[in-house]
Amino acid sequence: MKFLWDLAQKNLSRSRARTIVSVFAIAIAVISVVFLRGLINGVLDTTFANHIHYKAGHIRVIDQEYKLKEELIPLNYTVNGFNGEGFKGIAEELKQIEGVKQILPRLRFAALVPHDEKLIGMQGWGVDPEGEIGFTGIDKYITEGRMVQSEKRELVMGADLMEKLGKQVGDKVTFLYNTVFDSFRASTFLLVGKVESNLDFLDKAVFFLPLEQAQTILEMDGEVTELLIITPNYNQADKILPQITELFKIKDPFQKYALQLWNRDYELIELFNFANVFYDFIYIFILILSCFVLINTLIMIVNERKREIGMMSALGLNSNEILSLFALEGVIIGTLGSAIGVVIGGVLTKVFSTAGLDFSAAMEGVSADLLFEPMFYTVFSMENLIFAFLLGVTVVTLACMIPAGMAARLDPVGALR
Amino acid sequence: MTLLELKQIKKTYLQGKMEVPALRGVDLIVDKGEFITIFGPSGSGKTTLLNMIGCLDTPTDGEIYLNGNRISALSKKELALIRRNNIGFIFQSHNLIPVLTAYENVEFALLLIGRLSEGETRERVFKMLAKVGLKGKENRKPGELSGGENQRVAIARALIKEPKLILADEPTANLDSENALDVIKIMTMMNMELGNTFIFSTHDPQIREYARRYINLRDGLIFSDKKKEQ
Ligand SMILES: Nc1ncnc2c1ncn2[C@@H]1O[C@H](COP(=O)(O)OP(=O)(O)OP(=O)(O)O)[C@@H](O)[C@H]1O
Ligand SMILES: [Mg+2]
Repeated sequence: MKFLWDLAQKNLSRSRARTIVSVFAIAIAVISVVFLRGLINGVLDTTFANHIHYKAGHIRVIDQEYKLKEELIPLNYTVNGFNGEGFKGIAEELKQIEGVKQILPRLRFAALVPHDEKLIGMQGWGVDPEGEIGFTGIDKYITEGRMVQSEKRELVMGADLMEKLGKQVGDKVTFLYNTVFDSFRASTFLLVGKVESNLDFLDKAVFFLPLEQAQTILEMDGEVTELLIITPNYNQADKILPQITELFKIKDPFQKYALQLWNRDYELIELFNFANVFYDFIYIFILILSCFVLINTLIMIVNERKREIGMMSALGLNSNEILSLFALEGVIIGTLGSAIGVVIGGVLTKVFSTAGLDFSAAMEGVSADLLFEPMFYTVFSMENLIFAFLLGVTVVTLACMIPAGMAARLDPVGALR
Repeated sequence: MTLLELKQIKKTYLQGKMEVPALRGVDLIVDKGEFITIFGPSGSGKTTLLNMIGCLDTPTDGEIYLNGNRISALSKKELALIRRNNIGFIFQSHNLIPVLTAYENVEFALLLIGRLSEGETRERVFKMLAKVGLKGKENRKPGELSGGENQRVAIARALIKEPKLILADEPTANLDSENALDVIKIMTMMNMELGNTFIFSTHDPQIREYARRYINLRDGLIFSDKKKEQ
């Protein structure tokens, strides 16, 4: 085989221009795959992260009814313990389970702020400030002021919302809401921080206040709308789900509560997972397109070397060896192209993993209620480079079988004539 | 000793729906060490016959024995193996692999068999190239050698694996008469020295004279088969 390998290499220099064109066709395809996949992974990573941070946690505990009516953020279907003793009862039990890192309570409610003779709608999130900082790193997005402190009558608000209301850090904000008993109330809190997160939803529609304060004003002592269970690694959250399910089977026999895994029980994530399969086909398609150049080149080569193939056949090369000879020539081109593509693609994904691509113009008006960011960052990963390289080499190798097979099937007598 | 035996070899080509008989029943016995020419008008079946003997093509009918083995019914893969180990070919043109040097072209035939060590291979190839008069030109590629020199490389390559049988289809047709004579003389010398059996076809009466047996083909049949009087 070694002499075939040597010969295939030497044959590549016979038509250098054609070889180079073919190599670059493959390289461009592989660059596209690396970059596109890096970008999609980037979008998925940030989208998943946002989904986990601001919606799902790793596993979420909610009331069964709340699950159905979540859009309306009702206050009647809360997490308040296995026997009405308050959410802390459940939190304590959950913390006993190995692999549970943190329990994050949230009490979300609808609120209104009058401004310019209009009422501006928004969501109040009663949160555990320390827990939020630990999990979402919300403090990094507070560009002015600070995060609220437990128990105090303080709130932080999205930057866009503040602008809309004409408020500054240090101002007082009065908001209207319904308590759990449906009485209409107003409360005034001190605005201590401004959130600028790039997430439209947070910036335009949310304010955070300490959980205890939210519970007090809503008359919901010990209740939250959801409990987020955080594990050390979101990709392995499903591993501890059975234990948690077991706990709930015993403690919650009437199934008041629902458990939701971050990547299983949400339509958005299912959509992304489905899209991923679709993207894999796109990558293969891109590579197949570039293979047409290579196949065309190799067919030309086979035709030009017909007599040579006949001669080699007379020398005693069998059809497998002739197939290998031409396939090797294609595979070398494919491997070179894939290698070049991976290097350039790697550099590009690296650059755009910090520089980012600004899609805000394209996303105008689309993303208001989705957890999307308008800045997309590619993900540089070895896995992506290896994936693109192997996919490139595999598709090219398969494609080369067409012209190589043509060479192998040539009748030596006809080829020599 | 018999090297090759052909029994009623027939070959019919299909041209569209027309059957073209190229060989119509050839009987032939070739002994080891013979130096044979096949001649005859264009289209008489010379190339077809050499291809049959060389295991490049299979007969429509009849049987071929090489070294006592029946080869007319072997698979393509088995035929390739026989060519590789037992038969050397020299063609009219396009004999060599253009990206390989003279040395590498000759070496290629040995690498295919893959029995010799690197050192032995080297020594043998250099010796053979010297024998055909190409000393000092081992590292030239076919494009940097004359037509006559290229044919010598082809002879060296055909002989390097010491095959029992060497087949040459019009090996001198593309050469001027001086080079043609050189090539046939080298073939004669190799035949004398190494004892391989040569069968070559030619249109050139002057070249034909070097053979010791003359087979005249006409219309796919052996018209005459004469040996040179000693
Ligand atoms: N592939 C083929 N298809 C159809 N007919 C063929 C084919 N190959 C050879 N023939 C026919 O078979 C006959 C013998 O051809 P062959 O090439 O053996 O002749 P030749 O003696 O070598 O001629 P030349 O001296 O011109 O080389 C010719 O009539 C030729 O047309
Ligand atoms: Mg002929």
